[in-house]
Amino acid sequence: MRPLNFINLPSVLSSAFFLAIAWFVASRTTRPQLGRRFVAFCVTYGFYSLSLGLLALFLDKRIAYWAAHVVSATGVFTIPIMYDFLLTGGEVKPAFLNVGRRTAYGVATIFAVFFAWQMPRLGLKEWWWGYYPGRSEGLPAFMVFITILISHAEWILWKRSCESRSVNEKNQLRILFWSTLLTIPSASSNIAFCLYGEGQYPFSSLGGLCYAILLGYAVVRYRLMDIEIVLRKGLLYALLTAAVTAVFVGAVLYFQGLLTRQTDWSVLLSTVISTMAVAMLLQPFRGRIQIAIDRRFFRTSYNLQQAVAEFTDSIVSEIDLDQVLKNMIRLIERTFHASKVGIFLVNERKGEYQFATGLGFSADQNPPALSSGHAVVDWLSAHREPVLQADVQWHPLMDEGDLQERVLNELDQLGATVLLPVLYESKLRGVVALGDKSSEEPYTIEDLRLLGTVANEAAVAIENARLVEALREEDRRKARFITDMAHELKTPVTSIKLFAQILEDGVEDAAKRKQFQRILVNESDRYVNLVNDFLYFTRMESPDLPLRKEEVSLYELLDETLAIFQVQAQEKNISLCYNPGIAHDDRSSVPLVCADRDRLKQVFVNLVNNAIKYSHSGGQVVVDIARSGEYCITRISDTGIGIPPEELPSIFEKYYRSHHAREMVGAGGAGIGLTIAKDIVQKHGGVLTVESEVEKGSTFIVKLPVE
Amino acid sequence: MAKILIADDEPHILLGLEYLLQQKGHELRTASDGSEVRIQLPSFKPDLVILDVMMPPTGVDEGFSACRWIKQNEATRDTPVIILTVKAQESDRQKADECGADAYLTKPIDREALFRTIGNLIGV
Repeated sequence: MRPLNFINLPSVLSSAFFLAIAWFVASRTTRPQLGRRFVAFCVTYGFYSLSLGLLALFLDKRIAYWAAHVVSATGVFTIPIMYDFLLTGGEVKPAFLNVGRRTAYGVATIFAVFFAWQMPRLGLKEWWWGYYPGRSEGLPAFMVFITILISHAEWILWKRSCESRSVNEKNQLRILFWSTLLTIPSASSNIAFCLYGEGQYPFSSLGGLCYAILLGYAVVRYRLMDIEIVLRKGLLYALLTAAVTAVFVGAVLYFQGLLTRQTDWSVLLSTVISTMAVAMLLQPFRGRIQIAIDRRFFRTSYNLQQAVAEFTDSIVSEIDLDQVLKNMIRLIERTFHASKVGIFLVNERKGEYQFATGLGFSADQNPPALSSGHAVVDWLSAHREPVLQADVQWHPLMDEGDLQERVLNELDQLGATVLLPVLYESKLRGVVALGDKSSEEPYTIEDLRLLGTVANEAAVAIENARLVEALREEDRRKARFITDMAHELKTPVTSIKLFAQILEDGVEDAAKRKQFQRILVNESDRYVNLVNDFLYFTRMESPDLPLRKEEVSLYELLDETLAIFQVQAQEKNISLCYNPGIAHDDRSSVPLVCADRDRLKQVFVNLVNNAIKYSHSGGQVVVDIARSGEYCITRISDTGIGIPPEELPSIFEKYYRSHHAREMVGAGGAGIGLTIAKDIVQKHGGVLTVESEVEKGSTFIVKLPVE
Repeated sequence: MAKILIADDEPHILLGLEYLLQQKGHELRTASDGSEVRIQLPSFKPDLVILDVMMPPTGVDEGFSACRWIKQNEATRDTPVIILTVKAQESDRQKADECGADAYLTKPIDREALFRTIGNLIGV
C-alpha cells in the first residue's frame, strides 16, 4: 500500500460521497424514472472514482491491474448513463429515448470491450503517486463519442426548457443544462485523459464532484428528484462525519505507512479502537450539532417546525370547530405562504366533503362539494397521502387509465396545487386544498411532511369539536323534544277538562251529551297512547326492553285499532275500513304472528292515527292484510297529503317532524311516532316501509315474519 | 252579546269552546288555521278573537303572526285578541306581548278564567 496522498484520498472520499447521494436519491425520489438513472450515474461514477483511488493506493500490480479494468469500464459507461439521465430529465418521447439510449449503450459497450482488450498490451504506467492505465489508440474516437452525446442531450434540454410553460419545469431543465455545460468538459476530459494515460489530478474528481453538487442544488431548489432537505441534511451530516473520521483515519494510516512500511496488526488494532473511541466521544455531541446545523442552515424549516408545534398546542384543548379551522388556515397562510387555503369536511349524511371555510376563494361562491365521484377523493381515501400537482404525472400509482388527467382537471377546477388528506382513525374526514405559494416556489417534501402533521393534529381537534357539537345538538333536541312532548300531552288534557266542565253544567241535548262523553273517552285513549309512545321511546335504546311475545291475531289488533279511530274518522268525514276485497275472505287465512300485543298495537295506532291526521276531509284510509310467503303484510293506505321525496329518508328519524305535514296540518307532534313504530317492527324481525306521493297519499307497509 | 272568532286546529277544542261560549249567548265563528282567520275577519267583524299558536299553514307561530296581522290592520286594530295555547314559557308570553295580544291564556283552559278574561276585554 502507498501512503494516502492528494490523489487517492479525494478519490476514495468522493466515491463515498457519490454512493451516499445515490442512496439518498434511491430512497427518496418521487420520480422513479429520473431518480433511477441518477442513481445509476452516481453509482457508476462512484465506482469509477473508487477504483481510481485504489489504483493510486495499491503497490501490488495485480490489484492495480483489476482496478484499472474497473476504471476503464465505469469511465466509459458513465457517459451513456449520463446521456440517458439527461434525456429522461428532458422528458423526451419514450420511442425516441429508447433509440438514443440503446445506440449510446451499444457504442459504449464496443468502446469498453475495445479498451479492455487493449489493457494487457498497454499495461500500467507508474507515477510517483500511483499507477495509471496506459494510453489507448481508441481515445480520439471516444472523445468524439462523448462530445456527440453530451451536445445532443444539451441541445434537447435547451429546446425543452424554451418550450416549457411551467416556471418550475423551466428552472429544472435550465439547471440541468448549465450544470452539464459547466462541469462536463472537466469531468469528461478527466475520464478521457485518464483512459489516455495522462492524469491531471487533483482536478479529476473535482469535476464530477461539482456536477453532483450542482445537481444536488437543483434537486433541493427545484424539486428535480424531490428529495429535498433530507438529501441536503444527509449530505451535510455525511460530510461532517467523513471530515472528522477521515482526517483521523487518514492520519493514522499515513503514519502507519510512513513509519513501518508494513501492516502491523497491533497498530491496526489500535487504529480501530481509537476510531471507535472517537466515534463514541462524538456521539453525545451529535444531537447538539444537528440542532446547531438546523438553526444555522435550515432556519426556515426550523421555524416551520416551531410554528406547527405552537399550532398543536393551540388546538389541543379547543372545542370550537370554527376556531380550530381558523387557526389552521392562519398557520397555513402565514408559515407556508399559500395563496389559497380551503378546508372541506365530511358530511356523513350526504357522503360528500363540503367546503367548510377557506381563504383566497371568491367570497360569493363557495367551491362545490367533493364527493366520491371525484378521482382525488377516491385517491386520498385509498392512499391517504397528499396529492401534489407537480407529482401527478410522475406518480407511479397514478399511471392508470385517465386517472392523471382527471386528477389534474379536478385540481385545476379547485385552483389547488396540493390536496392534503385529513385523516382520523385511518378514515378520510376532510380535505385541505392549497393553492400555489405566493412566492411561486414549489412545495417541498419538508413542507408536505409538516402540513401532514398539521392535518393530522387538526383532524383530532376537528373530530373532538364535532363530537362536542353533536352532543350539544343532541341536548338541544332532547330539550325541544321534552317541550314538544309536554305540548302534545296537554292537548288531550285540554279537551278532557273542557268537556268535563261542560258535562258538569249539564247538557240537555241527549245526542250532544253522548258525543261529548265519547270525546272524553277518545281523548283519554289519545293521552294514554302518547304516554305509551313516550315511555317506549325513552327506553327504546336500552337493551333490556322486554317483549312479551304471544300468539297474536293481526285481525284482532287491527279491529281494536280501527274501533279506536272510528269516531275521529267520522268527525273528519273520512272512511276508515278494511280493503273490501278481503273483507269477505276467511280471516283464518291470515296466520297468527308471535308478537308483543301491546307494542304491536302501538304500531298500528300510530300508523292509523297518522293516516287520519294527514288525510283531507272526504278521504279514505284503507287497511289491507295479506300473507306473502313467510311474511304477513299489513298495508295502511291513505289519500292524504303524502310525503315529499326529499323528506322520505328522514321520517323515521328521531324527533323528525315533516315540514310538509306541518304546513298542511299544523303542529306535528314530538317526532317520535314513526321512530318507535319502526323500532318495534324491527324488534319483531320485521320491516316497516313507506310508499308515498305528494297529494295522492301514503302507504305504510308492515312486514312481519310468520312463526 | 258579542261576536267571537276562535281559531284552533284541534277540532275537539274548537267544538268545546264553541259550545261553551254559545251557551253564554255569544255568536261564534270557528277557523282551523291562520289563513281562515284572515279570510273570516273582514266579513264577520268579530268583537273578540281567540287564537291558538301552533296551527297551519306554518305550524309554528301562526297564532302570533295572525295576531300581528290583526293589530297592524287598520280595520281590525281595535279588536281584542286572546292567545290560547299549550305553550307556557316566558319567551312565548313575551312574543304574545310583542305582537300586541291583549291576553295570554294557557291550556288546559280554566272555564272561569276564560269567561273573566273575555269579560275584562269586551265588558260582557
